[in-house]
Amino acid sequence: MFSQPSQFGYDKATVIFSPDGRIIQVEYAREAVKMGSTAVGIKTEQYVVLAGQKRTFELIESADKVFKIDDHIASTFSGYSADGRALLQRARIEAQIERITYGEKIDPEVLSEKIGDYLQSFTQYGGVRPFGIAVLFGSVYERETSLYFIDPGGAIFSCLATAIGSNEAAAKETLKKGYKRNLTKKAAIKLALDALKAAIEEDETVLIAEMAVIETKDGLVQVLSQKDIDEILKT
Amino acid sequence: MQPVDIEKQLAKGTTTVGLKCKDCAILVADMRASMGNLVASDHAKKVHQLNDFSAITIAGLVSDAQYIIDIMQAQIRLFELDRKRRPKTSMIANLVKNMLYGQYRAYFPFYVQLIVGGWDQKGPHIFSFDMAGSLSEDDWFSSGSGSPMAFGVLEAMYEKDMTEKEGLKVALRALKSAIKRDTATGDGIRAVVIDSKGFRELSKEDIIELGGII
Repeated sequence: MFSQPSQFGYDKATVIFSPDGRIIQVEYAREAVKMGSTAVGIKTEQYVVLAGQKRTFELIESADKVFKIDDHIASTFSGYSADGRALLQRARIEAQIERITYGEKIDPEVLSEKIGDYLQSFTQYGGVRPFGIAVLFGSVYERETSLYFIDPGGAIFSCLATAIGSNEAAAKETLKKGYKRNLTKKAAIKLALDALKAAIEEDETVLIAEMAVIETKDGLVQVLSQKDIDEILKT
Repeated sequence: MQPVDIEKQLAKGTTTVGLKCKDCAILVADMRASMGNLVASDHAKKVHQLNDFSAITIAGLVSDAQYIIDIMQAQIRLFELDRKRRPKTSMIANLVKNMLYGQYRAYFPFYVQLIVGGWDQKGPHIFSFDMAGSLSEDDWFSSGSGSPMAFGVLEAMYEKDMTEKEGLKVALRALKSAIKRDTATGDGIRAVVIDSKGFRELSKEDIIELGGII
């Protein structure tokens, strides 16, 4: 009976539930995420690695895939890049609001909740559409690593390792097989690349990745280009 | 009446002292509320608890101070509920600072001089503020009409890393000088200690034993 949500218009607005309790617009937003280039996040005892595939188009310089939110927080997203940039700008502002309000770095859990709350508001009010992105936040805060995944509906999950974007299932499978809590920096970087490779396997394209690594040693975000990654893997 | 005149009428002559010891922060204040030459109250509360590990002393316009305390208590409680942790003392000080500065920039400052004391993972802290919203972390500080007398005593007697008992003696001595020489200060003393176990108010007996008066 409910196999065709559009039949009764339940998919036309985020303020309308379908009779089986779904908000169809949010589910459509999840589909948009699946069209975005793949991104993965890994949290180990000492390192947080965020990595994403940089899609290349002829005659267009590829856009950034991982972003620094504050000294200690990095982020990546899959989905509509314009939505992503707007949301990350919001995250950067929230991080600075925390510094002005309390004179301290923001707790990544608090930042994730604030961004989750913001995304949620686009599922409950009329005249808007949800963000067509899923976001990962990676951070070292008070010497602890953290990795958060936020979906377009605003739900937040703390993860050990996860993948978002196109062919995320294949990437997750690789992560599941290779993940250990005590991976070295190099091994974590390698696992992230393998997961991305698994996701783009079918396209037969060369992987160009961008990465952010945060170590508990200094807790600072380092953004790495494909060249930087190659350097590290060589040693 | 001009606002300034009202402030003169309502402004509370006071002496409060905040002092950092080795393992605790100490806040003491007198209990007299004055309106010009009138003693409006002899049991005014000038040291207020903010949460389990911080407190604030107030001097100046009582209504402004009480309003700031109400807002701070609410903000701190929300912080603790949201984040399942206590704010550091410096974070509380930052909240107070922003509130004072915001009001100052609205051309009608809160007419208060505040001291925040607390204990967190990094140990005890004392923070002082002015009406314009400046903030500084101190070993000791005094505010109110009797503060010049208290400053003299603290300047001479304060030492780093004092025990709780030594610190209380110095703080009470400073307050006693102010009570003797400042007409707007008097009517007994309220003293508070904040250490690793949290906020604790001293009994009258304790205060007398340490050289204070009630």
